[in-house]
Amino acid sequence: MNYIYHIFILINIYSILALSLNLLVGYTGLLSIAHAAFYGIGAYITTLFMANFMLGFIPALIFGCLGATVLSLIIAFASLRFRGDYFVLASLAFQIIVYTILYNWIDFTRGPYGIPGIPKPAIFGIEITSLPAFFLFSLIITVIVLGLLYWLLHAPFGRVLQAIRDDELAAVALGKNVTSFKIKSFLVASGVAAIAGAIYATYVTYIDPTSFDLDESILLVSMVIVGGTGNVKGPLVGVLMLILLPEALRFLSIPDTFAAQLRLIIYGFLLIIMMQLRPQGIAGKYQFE
Amino acid sequence: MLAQFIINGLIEGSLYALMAFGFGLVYHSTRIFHIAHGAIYTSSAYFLYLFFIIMHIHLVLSIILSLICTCFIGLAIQMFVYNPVLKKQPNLLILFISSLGAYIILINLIVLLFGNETKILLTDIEPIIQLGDLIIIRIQLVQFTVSLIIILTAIVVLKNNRFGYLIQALADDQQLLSVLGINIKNMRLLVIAIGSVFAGCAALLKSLDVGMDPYIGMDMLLTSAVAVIIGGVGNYVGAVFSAVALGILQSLIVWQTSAHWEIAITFVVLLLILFIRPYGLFSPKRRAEEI
Amino acid sequence: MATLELQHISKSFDGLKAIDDLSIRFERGSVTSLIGPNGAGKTTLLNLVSGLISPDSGKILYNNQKLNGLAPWQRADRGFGRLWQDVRIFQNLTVLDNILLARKNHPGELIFKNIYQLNCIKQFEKENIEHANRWLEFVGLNKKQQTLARDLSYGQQKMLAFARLLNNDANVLLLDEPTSGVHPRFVEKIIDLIRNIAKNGKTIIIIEHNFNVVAQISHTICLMIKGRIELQDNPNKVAQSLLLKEVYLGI
Ligand SMILES: Nc1ncnc2c1ncn2[C@@H]1O[C@H](COP(=O)(O)OP(=O)(O)OP(=O)(O)O)[C@@H](O)[C@H]1O
Ligand SMILES: [Mg+2]
Repeated sequence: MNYIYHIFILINIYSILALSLNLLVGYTGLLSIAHAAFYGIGAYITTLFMANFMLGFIPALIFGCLGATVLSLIIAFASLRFRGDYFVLASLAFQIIVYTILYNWIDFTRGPYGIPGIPKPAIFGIEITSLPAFFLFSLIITVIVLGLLYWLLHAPFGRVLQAIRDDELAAVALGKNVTSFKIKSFLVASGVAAIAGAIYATYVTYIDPTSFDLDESILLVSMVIVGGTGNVKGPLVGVLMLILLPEALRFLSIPDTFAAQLRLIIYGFLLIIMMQLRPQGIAGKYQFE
Repeated sequence: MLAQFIINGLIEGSLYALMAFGFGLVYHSTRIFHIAHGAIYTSSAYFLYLFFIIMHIHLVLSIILSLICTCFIGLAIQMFVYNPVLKKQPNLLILFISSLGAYIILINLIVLLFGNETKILLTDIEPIIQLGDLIIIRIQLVQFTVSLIIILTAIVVLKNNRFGYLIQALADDQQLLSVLGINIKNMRLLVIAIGSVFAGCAALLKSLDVGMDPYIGMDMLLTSAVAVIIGGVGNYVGAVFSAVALGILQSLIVWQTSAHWEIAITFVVLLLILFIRPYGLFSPKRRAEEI
Repeated sequence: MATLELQHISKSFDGLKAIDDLSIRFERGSVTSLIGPNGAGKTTLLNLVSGLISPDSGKILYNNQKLNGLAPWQRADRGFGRLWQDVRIFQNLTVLDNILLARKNHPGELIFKNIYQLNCIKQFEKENIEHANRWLEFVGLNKKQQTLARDLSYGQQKMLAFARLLNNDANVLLLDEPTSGVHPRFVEKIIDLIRNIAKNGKTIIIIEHNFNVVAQISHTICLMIKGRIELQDNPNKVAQSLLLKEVYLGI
């Protein structure tokens, strides 16, 4: 039963990540390979404020979100200047720089040793320690966050993002301030990713840089792309598939050492096959232009 | 000390240059952000491990066999990963994601087959050449000389030969190729084969020195991709010089700080240069309607 | 009198003079056509007015205010609307969304208003949909509301672009070849449409190769050659000019 809770908490965390990444990839049309960086920034800053300054979960989370959104301005600025593969490269650069900082800035992050003993979150004085409670806690946050995102993406705001994705110039000529919309989409996406980071940090109670490396970013992009871009359903399908896949492998009693690689190999094949057969993903709407 | 680190950087840079040349060929002519190039690099090192260490084949023969196999990996990627996409929907991001898929598959296959640990090819201690205060290990000399020869040959061939012209045509005027009666598909295969051999050479030279693990390809790829973009896509001499400059820069960073900052600094350089020259250092500005 | 005025505008691309010391005035409520051979600089002129490119020298004035330096979206905000030579509709959005989007100053495009001004947004969107439906009917696409724009025929896409422009509520309309590739049945419609819009006091600048269309709708015709306006007159006079024949028929 604990195991089921664990899986569901992971699904919650990754749903937040995938949907916020889809805001960039599938709506604004920016293939960003830096999402794990924002996830990590959120996790680290929240942890720092909880562990060092003894703040509660929510205030610490607010700092985490603020940190991630402020740093996202760098890559938002890049998105204004570069498009296509140059933007991908710029986001990759950001990911790698953030990872390197997390890894080397020992005073702040303890580098490769990671930060252990992160306190469990407490809401209204109730400490969330048991697994079922944490599941409920993460579920509530996820539902709120996904609900807000869904709402925003279906509002005229989301419509403008899609227009920018399809034809930036035409959107500009209709009077849309593309610069501001791109920046806003980064602010929202990175702030939301930071929330996932805070949940993760307080769930595992230990973080180190390897949870937020390039591979993690690639995994997130894979989820969105395999599941489908440009709507809300697609990334969720992707999350379910890519989270449940390793568990399925476990039930086929494939040894653990083997399963980790097998899982990644299957992701790789999925990416290639999807790109050839259904570039918009399994349940997606938009395919890259 | 400074001179020593510059020399080390220069030698490392010559390997980057080799890698960048291969990446640049593919990226320039097909615009595929060929991230799988990193996996091709890694596979090449492991082929050598397979032939030389596991199968005890003579080193020279092992090297040749490895390069041939590397070449086939490149061809397979072109045929089964890129061509189907190019045929249906030649789109940069779709190609990039496909390439990423190929990278993930290859690297994890390597982990499955050979494990995660570092593998060493040559266990003997290499002779040292002392030049005043400078120390150069024999294998470093080999690395530098071989890369230099290959790169110079390649530049001469590209500059003075129909081939260079055809690469350019593949990049921006494919109709010209069909008029000349050249099969575009074969041309692409040729390009990726050559690119893969370049990656293979870099990998073999490097792994003979320091061995290998499954993740060596990524840093190598990233640095050389940065070199290609800083140097200007299609400007091979520019890419070679940028690669060498990055090699030296990284070596100096290793000297001054801990080793883990090197890739990050490389990317800081990339970002700075991209921000100063948004369209790359040498590529012309695009038409307003496309901006 | 609201006018758009270009004063001594020049623009070159890599040494090629696309616009060469060009001055012109567009009066409110007038229809001005730009004609001329390919590469004459007609589209470039519209790009300069919409602000996608900036002139090497010269001033652009709208109601005596300088436009130079304003971003394209700011110009759009001041009432410049554009119909593109290559349609540029939003391919992955539905027909209806394409049009809804064009509405300016939509409160629903601001993130936080979506949280505390929901009613206002709902009301706005309701009106927006009503307008959009009217325009859709107007261009004959009302049955295709939920179709993806990419699935429309070229002619239909052109009409969609028109409807989008209408919902954008612009005062100065920059139309780049609105009838090219359109079914003759629609051409009549477009002509009527343009006349109607002009009657409502909007300024129209139109690039058009079909001289019949031009003659029917314009008050003024400008013949552009190599970045200059070589001839500017009413349709009758232009039709009789030798220069026009020279350019069009190669006499
Ligand atoms: N952004 C740009 N960069 C470089 N050259 C350009 C750019 N825009 C236009 N040109 C060049 O300027 C000249 C004028 O082009 P323009 O598109 O304005 O012609 P046009 O009159 O609209 O022709 P057509 O009837 O073919 O549409 C052409 O030679 C074109 O190649
Ligand atoms: Mg034109």
